[in-house]
Amino acid sequence: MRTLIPTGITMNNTGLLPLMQALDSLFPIGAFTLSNGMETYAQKGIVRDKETLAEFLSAYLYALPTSDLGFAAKAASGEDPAMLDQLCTASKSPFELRNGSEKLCARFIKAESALGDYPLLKSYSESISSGRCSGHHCIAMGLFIADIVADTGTALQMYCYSLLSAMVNHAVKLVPLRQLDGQQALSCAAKNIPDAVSKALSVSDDELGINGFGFELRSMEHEKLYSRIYIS
Amino acid sequence: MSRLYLCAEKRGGRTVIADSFFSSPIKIAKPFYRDDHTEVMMMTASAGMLDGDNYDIEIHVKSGASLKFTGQSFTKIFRSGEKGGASQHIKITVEDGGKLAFLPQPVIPFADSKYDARTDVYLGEKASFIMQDIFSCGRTAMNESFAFKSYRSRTAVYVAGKLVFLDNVRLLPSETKLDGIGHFEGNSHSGMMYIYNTEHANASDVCSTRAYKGECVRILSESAQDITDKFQYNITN
Repeated sequence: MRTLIPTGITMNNTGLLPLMQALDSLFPIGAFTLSNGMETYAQKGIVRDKETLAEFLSAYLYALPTSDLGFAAKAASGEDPAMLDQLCTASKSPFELRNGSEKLCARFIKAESALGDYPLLKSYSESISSGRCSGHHCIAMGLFIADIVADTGTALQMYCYSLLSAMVNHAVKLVPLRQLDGQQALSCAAKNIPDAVSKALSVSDDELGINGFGFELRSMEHEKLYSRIYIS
Repeated sequence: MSRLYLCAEKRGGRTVIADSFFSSPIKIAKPFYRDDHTEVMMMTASAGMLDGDNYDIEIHVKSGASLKFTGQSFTKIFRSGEKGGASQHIKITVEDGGKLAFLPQPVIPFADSKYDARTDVYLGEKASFIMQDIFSCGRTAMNESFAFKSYRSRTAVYVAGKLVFLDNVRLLPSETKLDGIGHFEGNSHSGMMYIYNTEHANASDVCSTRAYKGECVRILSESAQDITDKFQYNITN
């Protein structure tokens, strides 16, 4: 029996389902162990309520087009992954940020290679094994987006959302905050995701690696926090 | 364009400036010869960097030479005009067995200034290098804070031709709240120090991390003096 699809609804294979799986916070790559500096912010009381979380998210989103989102956008747009990898490695100077990104990447590639045939991701994986690249999750994500032939803009918006959502979840646990406060801050910040993605797609190589001084410093301070739940 | 070129090499047991060239308003003071290194101080005959000023600085440290490069005064960046602001390009090469401490004074971008600085550092694997980059948000004594138009500074360090460290800064007060979270977080000054193959003398007192190669130190503070005091260095180990 044929399934009837009501007129006006299209069912294109846009690759969004594998992407949703890859971006799911439950995808087993250990993203929940990395706070990327949020643990320092919460412990020092800099992020302490809904308002300061909103301010954090706004600044984080402002930095993303030249950091992780920018690297993903460039990788998805066909720029040389080895060149991006070198810039990413050099710009992630805080040890835990760099190390976390490399670990996520290794687990992401391992998981995806068991789920499908992704030639760009495979080739990146080979250059990591050979020692030519360090391997970063953001670049692997960009290559994966290109592999699954998803609409790049939509895919990057989803990736960007997943980065913000992860930060909100860390903050809600660490501060702690009411779940709904976290979600309100998230939906407020998410309004600027399309703009961040446009910027990420048009950023020049020269601008890649621009981050906030505070973000870098707090990621570094995390190495010496007295008590730590997260590994970054 | 104003230029400075310096080439340091080891001659008869001490570091000498084997070759140099500079054009107005840049000058260098007579080098100080210490037991284990030579110090060169850059001076400018101008009060600061004016609209349209472009400094092109090249420092080459050969194998066996040990050089300390300092500045005479804070780099003040004046209001920009039709020439689009001030810019600086620095190219540093330190050969294997050469040592360089590159310690310019803090940069202060004045209200309505635009500044664009590029620093490219090429190190041999066995070179020793230390650099500091201290930034002030404006003339803080006059309550001037992030009143400049744009500030850009990109520092790239290559070891044996491979990019190993990138400090990429772009500050646009019109786009974001620079004294807020993620940026200066209530502070007026920032300090970044990068160290390769040498010892940081004050490591327990500051926040540092292992970069891909070398070490990076960062401080947010209320004063440039505080940062300078904490940035103790040991180039001669």
